[in-house]
Amino acid sequence: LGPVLWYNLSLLVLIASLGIVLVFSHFPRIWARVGFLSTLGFKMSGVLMATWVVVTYAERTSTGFLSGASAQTLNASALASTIITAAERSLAVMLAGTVVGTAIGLGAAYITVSQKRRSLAAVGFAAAVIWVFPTFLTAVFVQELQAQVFNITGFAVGGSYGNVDPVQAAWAAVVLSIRPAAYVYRRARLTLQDAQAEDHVRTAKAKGLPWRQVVNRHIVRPAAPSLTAGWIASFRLMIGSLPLVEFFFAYPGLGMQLVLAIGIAYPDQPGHFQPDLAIGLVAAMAAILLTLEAMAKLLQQWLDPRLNELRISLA
Amino acid sequence: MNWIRRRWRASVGVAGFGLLGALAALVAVGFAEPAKWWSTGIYAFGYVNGSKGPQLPPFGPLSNVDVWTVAPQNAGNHFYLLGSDPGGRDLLGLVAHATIPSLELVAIVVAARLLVGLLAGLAMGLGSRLVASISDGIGSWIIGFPYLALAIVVIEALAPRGKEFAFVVGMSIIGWRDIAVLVAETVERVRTQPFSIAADAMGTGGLRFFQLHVVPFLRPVLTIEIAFQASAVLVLLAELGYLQVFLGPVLDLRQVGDNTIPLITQLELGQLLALSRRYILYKQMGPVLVPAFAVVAMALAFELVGTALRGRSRFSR
Repeated sequence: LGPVLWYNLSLLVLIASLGIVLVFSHFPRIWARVGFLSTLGFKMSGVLMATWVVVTYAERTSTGFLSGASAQTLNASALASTIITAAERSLAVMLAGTVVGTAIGLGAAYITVSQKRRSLAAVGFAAAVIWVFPTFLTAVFVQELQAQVFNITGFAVGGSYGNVDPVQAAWAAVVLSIRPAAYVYRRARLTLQDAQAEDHVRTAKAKGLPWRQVVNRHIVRPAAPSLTAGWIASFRLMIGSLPLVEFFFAYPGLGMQLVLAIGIAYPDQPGHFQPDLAIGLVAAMAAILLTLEAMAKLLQQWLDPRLNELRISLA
Repeated sequence: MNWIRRRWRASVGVAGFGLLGALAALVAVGFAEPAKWWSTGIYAFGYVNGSKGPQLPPFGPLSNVDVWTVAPQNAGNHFYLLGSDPGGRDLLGLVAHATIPSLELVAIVVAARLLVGLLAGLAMGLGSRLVASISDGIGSWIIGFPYLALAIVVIEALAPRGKEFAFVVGMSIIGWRDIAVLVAETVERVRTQPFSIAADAMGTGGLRFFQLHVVPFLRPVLTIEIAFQASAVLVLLAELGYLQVFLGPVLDLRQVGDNTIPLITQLELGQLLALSRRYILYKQMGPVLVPAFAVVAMALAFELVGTALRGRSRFSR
């Protein structure tokens, strides 16, 4: 299954991407709108091939987790089914995490810029502290919080460990969102502070517009494409720490399956390296990320039509 | 408003350097402890001052303990400032001795990331479209790959060639692209400045142009980036440790009955955190929290220093 599946899949995606280039690249206006599909395809093809090469090399050389692939091999349909089920679970967690993280990060940056209070500098310090907190440590504290709530109230708020449970998913989403929230805040604050120094903002202030209106219309709105770029970087961070968070909460999504597929196990349990599953899970995570990146580019173009014109001229 | 910003920047800098100083002092205290309290001795129980009966390790922080070996033989009295691990070994001593190899690893990884990022960034900034395309392609793949999984796979693949080498490569493969983009942006910005155009018109080119006009602007940017990268690498080291990817083996300490408690044998912060999951299951939070907070404090100190330095940079935002 292994080499044949990944070679073929990678080549198929590559051919499809080349097809898009050949058909649409002669029409700049259409190309500006569909060009992202070919970029997405090239990147996906590269991810598939490179991941296969790295995992196969690791399988041959490793003497640790990756040594000796498991006898538990999956056929293509079982592999696809496992990945799709895990992806659905992880998407739910990531969606909730993104909403929470973006709301906290962007909200805090907006308040910091619009309120102009010196005391809000403390938010920046808090973001720096959160940023250096390893994700597993946040998860440890969350678990302790659940235990304390249970000790005090007798009410179990932790959800069902190791199962697909909305409560467990919600906790995982909260932990997953904390560092990205700090990242979004820091990026957004810098972006909004930069935007404050623009000429059009000075003009708006000179015209005597209320500060809130200046912030909403002349600072946040023009900065929206940059805020989108910061947000997508935070999502990248979120998907990067997904394996750790899901492994901690034993939530069987893409991340936990990936950790188990590369042979890492829970204490007192044997690890099984499953190269095909590992490659498939990485490809699924990359597909989610790359699709979102492509969508974010379209969103940026919609938010700032000048970007669209620039991309047409580059095409 | 400028004086407020300057004061804030100065406070952040003082906090960062103060934290580094405090950590250095703690490391010095840990280093001053005799080896038997953090390395060579494994202790079975102890009489904590004020308690009636013997107590099994881990001992709590700020506890004064009359310590006994498995033999049983009295090892003497010891004050555990930050508590002990399940083998009765002083966590301050363990963390102090683990900090140095970890920081050495961090320094090498940051240097490797800087080297690759600098070379790629210069090539991108000085107009090499080929390098820019290659960097973009590799970057896209690295971005698409979950960073922890990538680091684990690369470390595992290269481990037979030496674990230190594997860690350096595995941890450097992530993060260099940020430096490359930063360097490329700085170089491009310098090249659009009037003085740069004037220098070009006067015939200053190649290495001399780079030396006279690019290096002075690149130096502060990279100095700041070093602090941020050091912070990021420390956090990555801790997260890898939690997922049981660390330097060196562990030692299993067999208790009465079937319980086995693993103890770390090669001091490094990642390895100190490698047994976190098991310690959490046993409700032994001290051996998890002390090294984790050591990482947080160090990373925070680097972060604060970087933030303060960024405020001083000419091209800072």
